[in-house]
Amino acid sequence: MSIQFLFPELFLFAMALWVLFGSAFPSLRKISDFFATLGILGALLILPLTTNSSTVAFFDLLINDPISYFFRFLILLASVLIIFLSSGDKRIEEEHKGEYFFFILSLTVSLMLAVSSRSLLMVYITVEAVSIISYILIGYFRNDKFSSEAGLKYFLFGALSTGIMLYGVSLIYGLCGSLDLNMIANLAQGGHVFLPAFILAVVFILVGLAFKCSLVPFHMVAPDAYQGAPTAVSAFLSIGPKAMGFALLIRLFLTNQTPLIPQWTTLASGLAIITMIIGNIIALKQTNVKRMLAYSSIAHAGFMLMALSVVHQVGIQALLVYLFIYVFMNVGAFGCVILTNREEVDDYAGLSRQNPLAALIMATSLLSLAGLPPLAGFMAKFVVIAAVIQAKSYTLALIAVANSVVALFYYLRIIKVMYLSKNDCIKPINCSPVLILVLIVTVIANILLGLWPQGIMHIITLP
Amino acid sequence: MIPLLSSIIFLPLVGVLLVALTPSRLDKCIKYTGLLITGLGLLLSIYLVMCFDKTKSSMQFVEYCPWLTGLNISYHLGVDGLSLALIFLTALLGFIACLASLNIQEKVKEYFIFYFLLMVGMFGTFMALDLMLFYIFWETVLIPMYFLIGIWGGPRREYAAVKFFLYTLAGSVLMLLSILTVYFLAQPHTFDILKLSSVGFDPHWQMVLFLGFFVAFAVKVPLFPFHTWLPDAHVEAPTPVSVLLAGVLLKMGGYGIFRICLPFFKDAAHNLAPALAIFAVINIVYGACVAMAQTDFKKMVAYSSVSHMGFVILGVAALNSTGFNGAVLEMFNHGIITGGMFLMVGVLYDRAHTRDLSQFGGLSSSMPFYAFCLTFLSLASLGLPGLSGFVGEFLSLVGAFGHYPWLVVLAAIGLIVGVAYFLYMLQRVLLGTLNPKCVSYGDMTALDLISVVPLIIITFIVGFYPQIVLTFQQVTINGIAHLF
Repeated sequence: MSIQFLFPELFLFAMALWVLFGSAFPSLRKISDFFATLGILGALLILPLTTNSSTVAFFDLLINDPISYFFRFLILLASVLIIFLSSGDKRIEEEHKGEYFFFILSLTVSLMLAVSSRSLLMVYITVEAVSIISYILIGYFRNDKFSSEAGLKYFLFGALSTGIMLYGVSLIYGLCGSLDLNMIANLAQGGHVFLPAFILAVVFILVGLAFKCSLVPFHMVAPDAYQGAPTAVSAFLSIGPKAMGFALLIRLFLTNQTPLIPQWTTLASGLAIITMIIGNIIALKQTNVKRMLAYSSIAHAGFMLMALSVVHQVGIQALLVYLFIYVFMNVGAFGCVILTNREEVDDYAGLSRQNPLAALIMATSLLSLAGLPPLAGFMAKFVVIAAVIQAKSYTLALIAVANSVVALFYYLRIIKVMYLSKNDCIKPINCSPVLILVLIVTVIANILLGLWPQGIMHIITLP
Repeated sequence: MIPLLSSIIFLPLVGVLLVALTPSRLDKCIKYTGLLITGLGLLLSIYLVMCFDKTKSSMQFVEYCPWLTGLNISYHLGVDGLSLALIFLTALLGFIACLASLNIQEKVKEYFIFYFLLMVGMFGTFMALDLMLFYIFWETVLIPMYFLIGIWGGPRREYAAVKFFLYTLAGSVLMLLSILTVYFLAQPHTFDILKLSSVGFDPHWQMVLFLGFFVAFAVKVPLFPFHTWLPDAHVEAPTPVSVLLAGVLLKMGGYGIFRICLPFFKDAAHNLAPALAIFAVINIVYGACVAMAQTDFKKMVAYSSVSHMGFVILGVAALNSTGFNGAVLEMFNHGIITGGMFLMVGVLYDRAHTRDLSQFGGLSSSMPFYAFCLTFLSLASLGLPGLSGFVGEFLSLVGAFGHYPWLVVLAAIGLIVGVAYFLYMLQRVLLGTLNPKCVSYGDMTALDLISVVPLIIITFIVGFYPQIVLTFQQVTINGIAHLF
């Protein structure tokens, strides 16, 4: 039965509708975050049951494989952390709370469907769904100029990129006569397609996905969007759509672990290099922490794409480990922005004196993002670089590690301001117990996954 | 049976827990915990030295357990003649710097937490026998050091801390790449340092990999032209941190060269040795000349470190057992002597709140104990025969003489400049008429003496009878020298 495969999504969507329904009633609206959490936890519990269902579902539109399982788990995990972050954010006003969580849950469902798609039709529909919900969430603060502007910008660029993607999809259909990813891969690898046109079509699709992963040169609106959006949404955008984008890149370009087009390695490593370099260099100059984190997440996307340029199981595994660890690092960093109520770097002055715990959490997340041992971020970087070196792409690896030195500079800037600055910025801390709890969880995860990553490492082995 | 090495490494971590659980207003209590933990560490390391079998060239006290099995990374520790002296040095200076840390006034709790984390990293680096474990400990040192300089340092501490961090990280990411390349080149793939020592890599690769590792180590040593972080970091760091920085952190670089560069890449070492010798001599002469020009006491000592570490590299470049023994002994001696010198600078700074050499004068009459200690350590540092500094430098020079006679002559000129700047410093600080500003300075306190006197005694004993240290290292070092 293929319906069994969709149980987590169905349950989650039912909960989403319930949250939306409940938002009409003040008493239910107040606890909509509770229902949202319940929905995610329920879906997490049901998820393992789907492993036994059939491999393909719904007329081959969806696929049930370890990659889809991993990504669905990852998205649920990110989503539950984001819900905790959101419920700690006072700016998400009480009156719209219900709708907000409805959108978060719907976004989760769309992302989960996207990562299991096996047909370009499904890919397009889910990517479009993710985009539309993202526009709404980014522009969630209706009365905030930045938020509205960010939403609009994201919409315009997003519509353009998905439009190009749709054009690519139609070209592929014309060339291959099918939308099934497996079939397309077989035709392309068998040399049964007119290659120049096929490459063009594939690159068009890549544009749409690159926008979701915020790869250079499709990164431009990401910083605006992250800065304007509610911080919790920025955190989700930096994880969810990115994970989806990479899942789809794996599905589209690396089916059967052979590249869809012969130029894939060159294309991916080239994109990875410019993404890392541009992300890191622009991040150096940022004064707004959310913007800086946006550029840092662009640089991280470049790092992840580098793993995919390795056309080998090890590369994919490394990407999965990276994404998993990345969830905790980024949630930690964005969560601290919510916790401390500060968006400018200078506002962090003297945070270590005012609130040592918040400063410690921020410092751990940032050092982990910078990839310093013994924190988890190091393990993430390590497995990716190991995969790249194994593929003998030494120049690529060199560029990547040089980038991580540059990256350290801007992460250290925040730490420097927090710990070494003599001035004090007195701003109240947003002391929500849930928020602090979830941030402590991310810190522990950042340390544990760095010292004892066995839990996730069973998915990756070096030869 | 308690695993001795793990206890030494992780004892400071117990300290972290204890200090973290103590309320920060009990700063006395925290300081005594610090002394207790570092004291215990010192006792353990003395016990380690006593149990050490000098006649064996293999690793001792080996601890092995698989750690990240999927990645082939294991928790593998061991001690041999190369690391033993450095571990003892770490424990000794860790304790002595902790004594000097009793003067720390602000944020005592955080200070000791970072201090203990630093100790963990330092011990671990000297004991790790797995490349990844080595790398992780190596990098663990960075974060606490950054904060120790950055929070408790002098006026330009932020600049110094960031510079230290970036320089070292830039070096060590190259090391990470080299580690991974080594892993995939070796058949079977392994991170085990002992196994990799006998692999014998392709000569073409050896050159690249040697340099990859060497740059990381050269930044730490520090070797010209990567040395510019050192004066900044030293000048800004608080006294105890300077002691550890000069005494232990610089040795991590030298240790890495002996542990990894030389045994892994013998051919490359052969080919690159002349270049190393040239850089070493630049270090010696340039460091000495720049030290001569300093007006800041601490900066002068920092540049003297640059000069002295040149002898370590010169000994390495000799590629024979005399040179190697000299280099390793010089690392130990430099740790003791320069650690002491920084304490002396700290003593004076506590009283004068300046390190400008022109602000002192005639202190020998008002501070006789101080004058004695400073003179003694300076003489040891400038390489007076009979004191420990001489022995290591002499062995390095002798070892290198056979290969590079002219460079050794140049290095000897550096030694003369070394004598000059130390004597010039002594003249400005101790001799002449008493500077009126310095009348009120009291002599060294009992605490100051307790921290400096052990170092002076060791300097004296090792200078008089260097065999006491050499016996521990000889077997291992000769083993490495036999490779060439």
